Amino acid sequence: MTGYTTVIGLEVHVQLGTNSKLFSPAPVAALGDPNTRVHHVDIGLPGVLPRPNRRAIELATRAALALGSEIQLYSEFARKHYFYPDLPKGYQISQFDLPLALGGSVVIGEGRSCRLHRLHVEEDAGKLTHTAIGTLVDLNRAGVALAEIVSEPDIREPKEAHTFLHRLREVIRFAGVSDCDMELGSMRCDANISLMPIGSDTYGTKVELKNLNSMKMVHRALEYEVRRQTAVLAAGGKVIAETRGWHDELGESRSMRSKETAPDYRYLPDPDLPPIVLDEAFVTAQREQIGELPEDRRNRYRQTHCLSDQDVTALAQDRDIGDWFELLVAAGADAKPACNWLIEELLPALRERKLKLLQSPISATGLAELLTLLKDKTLTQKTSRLVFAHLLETNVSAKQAIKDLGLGKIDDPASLQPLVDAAIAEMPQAARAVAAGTDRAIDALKGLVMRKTRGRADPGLLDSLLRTTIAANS
Amino acid sequence: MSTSPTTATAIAKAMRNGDLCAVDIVQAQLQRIASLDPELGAFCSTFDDRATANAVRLDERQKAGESLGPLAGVVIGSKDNLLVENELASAGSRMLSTFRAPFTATSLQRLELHDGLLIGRTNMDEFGMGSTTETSAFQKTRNPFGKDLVPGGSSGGSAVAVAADLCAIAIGSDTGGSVRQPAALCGVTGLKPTYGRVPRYGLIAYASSLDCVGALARTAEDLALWLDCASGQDPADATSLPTPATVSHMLAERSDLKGVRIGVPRELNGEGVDDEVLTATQAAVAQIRDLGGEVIDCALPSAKHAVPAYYLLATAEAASNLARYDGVHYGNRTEQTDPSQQSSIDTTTQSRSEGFGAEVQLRILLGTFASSYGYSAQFYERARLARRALQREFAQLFERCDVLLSPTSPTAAPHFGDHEEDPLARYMWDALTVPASLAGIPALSMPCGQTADGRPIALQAMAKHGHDGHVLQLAHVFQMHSQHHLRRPQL
Amino acid sequence: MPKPQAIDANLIAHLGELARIRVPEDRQEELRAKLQQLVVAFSTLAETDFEAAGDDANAATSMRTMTADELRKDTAETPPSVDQVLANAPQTAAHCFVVARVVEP
Repeated sequence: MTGYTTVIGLEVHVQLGTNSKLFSPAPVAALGDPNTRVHHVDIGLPGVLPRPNRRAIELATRAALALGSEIQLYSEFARKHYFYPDLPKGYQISQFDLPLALGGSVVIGEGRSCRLHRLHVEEDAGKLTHTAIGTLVDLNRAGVALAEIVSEPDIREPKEAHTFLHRLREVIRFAGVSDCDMELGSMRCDANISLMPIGSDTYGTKVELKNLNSMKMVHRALEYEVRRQTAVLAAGGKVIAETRGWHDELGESRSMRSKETAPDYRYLPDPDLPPIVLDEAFVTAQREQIGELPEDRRNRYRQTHCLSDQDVTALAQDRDIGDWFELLVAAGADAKPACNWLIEELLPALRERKLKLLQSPISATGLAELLTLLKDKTLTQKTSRLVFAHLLETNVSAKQAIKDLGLGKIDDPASLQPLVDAAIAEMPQAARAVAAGTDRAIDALKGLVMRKTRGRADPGLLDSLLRTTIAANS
Repeated sequence: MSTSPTTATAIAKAMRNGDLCAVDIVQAQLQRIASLDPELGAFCSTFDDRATANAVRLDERQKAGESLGPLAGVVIGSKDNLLVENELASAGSRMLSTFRAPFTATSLQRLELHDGLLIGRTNMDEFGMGSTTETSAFQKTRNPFGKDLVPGGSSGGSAVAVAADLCAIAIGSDTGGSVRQPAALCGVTGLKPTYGRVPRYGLIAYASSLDCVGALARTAEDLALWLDCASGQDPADATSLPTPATVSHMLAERSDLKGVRIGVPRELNGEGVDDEVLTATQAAVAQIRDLGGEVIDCALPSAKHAVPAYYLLATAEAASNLARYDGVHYGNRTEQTDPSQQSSIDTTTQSRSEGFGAEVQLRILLGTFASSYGYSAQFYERARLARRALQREFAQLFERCDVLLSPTSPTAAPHFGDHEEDPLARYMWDALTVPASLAGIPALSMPCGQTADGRPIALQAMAKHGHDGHVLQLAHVFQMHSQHHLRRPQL
Repeated sequence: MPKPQAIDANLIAHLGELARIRVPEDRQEELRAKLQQLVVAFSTLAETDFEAAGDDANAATSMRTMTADELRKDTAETPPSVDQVLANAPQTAAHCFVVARVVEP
């Protein structure tokens, strides 16, 4: 089945991380009882007018700059008309022929990149819930600021689409624009996909895929659609221009509506909103806010800290993670263990507690202290985890935690000698074997002491005490 | 009101001097409305409690020796498309017959802040779409100069309220002449300020790029007083102008029109205008020349595009602005569908078809056509270019002229049933007012004569964008030297 | 593009669908005739050469522009209560607006 080239273009909506909505001062919150985050402007009440949010324009500008797009100093809001109960005004305020940014690109593989068509700012719609008595309309989300990023149809396989989204999310997060959480809906993706015979330069009939609610779903839905369209064409059929919804539980897409007649949105420049004129100073200021982008950061970590590709990718997946890593290193931790503990211990523990990294109960200095104690062998791998768990709950210093837990090493001979004597008394054969030259028999004695001290005995001291005591006894 | 002064300026002055009591003024006005308005139909409802409570507070403050605002004691009517908290705001439409406003429009809030007394909401053409107030879903409004004469529109209720002394100032809105034309037909003075001068927040939209909050009063002096209080930037209205107008002080600067350059565009002063109207406005122009004005004959060639451009742009924007009335979030919901049975499309279509009157439906369909795929390039976009051309021509004229003059309406008030039925002829009736709307420039209408049978005739004055003071100054000087604005209907 | 003269019942139906307005059978012809008259009269604009002046149509809709400094500061304010939000709604349940079941547009 290698007769066709897959052509994929993506339309990604990213929620801009503002406090208030795009055109009203209503608060933006992921959760909340229905219609408790709704200003008169969001209902489109008669007499209201939109008030554009400066922060939304700033964040969208940062996203565009981070993606290498060209900021349009003159841009304009337009009204996109359609009737739907989640759209209170009968039109969505978006941008049409004068968007905020044009161009840009996203890396989708070794030597491969996908060009961007444009980035524009628009408002979100409300949420509908279908019930027996009718459809319920909640407008909490209506008017939330979004950036829509439209790619060119440069993607050639589902895996590249996955990489596109991954890299896009990374960049947007780094630029401090959005948390891009597909599960929470702060990043959403529609895909256009068509097949054309290999060697052809004429695109086939395209199908739009919706309800792609995670990166994995995007991947699965596109793979399914490649198979489906290939089968249709192989059977001599024609692909129908339509919108298909992805049903992940069924592992298939289903037709939502045909696109034979393109909807007529009757775009008009919004007469309530004068065109926005930005200047170079504004753009420069936004550029300065972006800071280092993920690719640059990965390179720096590779060079400065000699970390593996896997490590630097994990650290650069999110700006906060990298920043935290750097705090750890600055507080004296070695790079490699800092990376391991951050990625494998702290982040999973925070996820379990539904906390963000910036809300971590363990500070970077706290964790660095723990790593230092581990390095100088004050803590063992095992006890260090107990201290870590304690720190997550109590927010004390690592040294204090060790005291609290009674985890300090038993490293004075006076404390350890009675335990050594007791062990020899308990396992006289082992002691005799050691005395007779079967050196590995000492492990059993060590094990016994360690069990009794829950691993706290200083291994070096224990070894020497055992040997001197056995030698003295025999 | 025989015992009280009748201009807002005089009332406010008397109030501040302690010669008047606000509660008495409000009571007298409410009584007058109760006795005259059943026949005139100017008011949809009165704000008895609100006006009385505000009057009581005002009197208390006066007794306490506090200084009172420039509109102290001035009773003000407001058009039914301006929101007043807790009052109905229906914009003349069945669609909004039960809509209660959750806040007060910025333009009205400012009037109350300056101690004005809002007294009631005035009848209007549905969503401002009409020139006779007959498209109101609620009641007929009659011209005080003849009960069988139309009052003009869409701010017909406001014009009648002032003409019949039911209030000192009435607020209107002017999209294509809706303040100026009823002012002309009812013999009062009306101002459409520069676009953006008075904030639109709280004004139910007809066509956003053209809608202006305006006012009607007995004199230009009163309108200047109003504009000083109502103008200025509003953070809630991104299209509002940054600077307020301070015009009242300009009125004292002149008692004649020496050196004022007066343009009389040919296209607006001849074709299509009734002879009686033309005679009266030419006489007014002559009087203005006698007062020192330097009259210049000039041309505005793009004026011929004004009516098509206006109606295409206004209806395209209206189709958009009125899309919000979908029977879901507020407004009329049809009772003919059962939510558990029908689709939301049926509910919306049925609610809109029942809630909007015929003229509104016609304009929504025209605007939908003008902005729809395949037609918008030939209609909506062309109209935008025509508007731009007209704006440019006006700008050029205002390099040579300070004020442009024309009749406000090509005819005096027609009788009910006597005016044109076909929409094109009705729309052409607006030919003299829509140019200033498209250009966003200030324009004022003032009485300048009457027909043989006593119907008012009015002169329109237009000035450069942002120069509201120029039209007010000219009108004030004219009114210092003429009596037309003092003529009262027999009631 | 079809000639403007071709305003027919189909176009009226299409516009009605876009605008969600149903024109009763007995008023359709009257409405069609009115629209046609207006559209024909307003076609004069399409026959005029405005491009010569090099005008920018965008400037016609908005007489001013906004700079970044004129935009609203991103400060959230306490929104109206749910009761206020729903005060004018024709039908409500569970703190939501209620409408007939939605069929995909």
